[in-house]
Amino acid sequence: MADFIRRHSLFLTALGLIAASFQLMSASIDNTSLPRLGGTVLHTALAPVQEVHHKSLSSVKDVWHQYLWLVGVQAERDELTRRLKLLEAQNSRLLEYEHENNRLRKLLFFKRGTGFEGVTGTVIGSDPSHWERTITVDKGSELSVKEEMPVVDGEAIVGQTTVVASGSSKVLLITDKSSAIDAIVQRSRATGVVEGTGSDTLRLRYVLKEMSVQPGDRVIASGLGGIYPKGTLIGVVVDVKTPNSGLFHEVLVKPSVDLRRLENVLIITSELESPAVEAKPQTAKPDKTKEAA
Amino acid sequence: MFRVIVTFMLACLAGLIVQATLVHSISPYAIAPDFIVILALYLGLKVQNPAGVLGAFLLGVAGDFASAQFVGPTAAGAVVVYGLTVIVSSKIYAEHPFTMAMLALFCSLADSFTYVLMVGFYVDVNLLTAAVFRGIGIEAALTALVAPFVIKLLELSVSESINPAKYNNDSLRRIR
Repeated sequence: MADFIRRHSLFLTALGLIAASFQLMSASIDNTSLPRLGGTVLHTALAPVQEVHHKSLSSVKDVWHQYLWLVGVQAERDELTRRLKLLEAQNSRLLEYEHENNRLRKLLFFKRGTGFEGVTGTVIGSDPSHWERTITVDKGSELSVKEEMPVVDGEAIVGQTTVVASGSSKVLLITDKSSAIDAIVQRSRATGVVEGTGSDTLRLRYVLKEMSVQPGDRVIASGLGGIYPKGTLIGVVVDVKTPNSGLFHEVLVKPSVDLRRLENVLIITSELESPAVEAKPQTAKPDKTKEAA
Repeated sequence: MFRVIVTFMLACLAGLIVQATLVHSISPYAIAPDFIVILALYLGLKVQNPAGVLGAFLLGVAGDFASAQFVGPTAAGAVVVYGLTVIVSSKIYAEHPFTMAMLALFCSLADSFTYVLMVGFYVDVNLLTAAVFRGIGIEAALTALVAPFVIKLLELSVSESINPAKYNNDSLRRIR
């Protein structure tokens, strides 16, 4: 018997344990506190491990979610940066339109205010050499633009057309050395000739010493010469010198137009005789001055 | 022997933790491999004596306590798995991974049916529904997939615990 038990101890144990299982099952159904008690013990033992696992898993999840979130933020940031650049470009274009609108409005008001007909042109180039002060405008003979037509920017004189082709015109600026405009000092009605100096300033010549000229005086076109409309602003006196010798003041005038930053100009195409004649207050202009000019 | 018991207790704990935490966190209430079956299978392969079957029984009891509903069905299932493994391993070579996987599949099915039968014997509920059958099949398949790796892992850890002299000799040989 002992030998049988020894030889089959494994299976006998197994059978005994299965029987014990049935017994436990029976006991656990009769007394539900048994599995609960065991479960409590086991869960108490497992709880810290589960907690650690949960926390570490939560950390991993958090990192993962944060990472994903950061990826999302990165994408969103890129998108916003792209949109910002787009809006900046649009804003820049709109500002440009606004400036252009202002410039064109000035030209339109000039046309309405003076009654002159004109062609609005865009400056498309300037003279590359240091010797001449000219610009190129994108309007030419196809729009009845001719040589020796005055060019203004809406407030003041810019120059006159010298070479006209189809689709473009060359404009001699008032600062060019070869430019001369018969002018009046608006306050004192002193007459003279505004000449270009080749730099950014102008010189008002042939103003008699007995005539009053002072810095801040506005210098306007007299209308003589038949090119520039009478009363059109040329510039402002910035310096007056009265030498001991000679008959005239030495007057330095700053153009009212920033000729370095011209973008849109108005080429006056209508005849000037009638408005010039109608604008009666022609001052007594000494012919010798004009001849000298 | 003490080292073996400690190792198995740790393995049992690890199995329960994996079952109750990791698997749950991957997919809550999903069908997962039955680690108690794998541990009982390992005992059936490696410890073929009354201590082995007792170990399997205790593993099952621990599993029952983990579910905290009935005590006994999982324990009986583990003993059945152990017994089947002992019988099969005495007839064929069960150490090959494929054989081990097939044995795990078979044992998992046996364990599940033991559970169903036992609960059905005591409680008036019909557990043998189509969903339960499907779940049993999937669980058995997953257990079969995982079993060879887990058993290999256990072999590596337990062999060094069981035979520290060999481990020490190996270590010494490596040092020399």
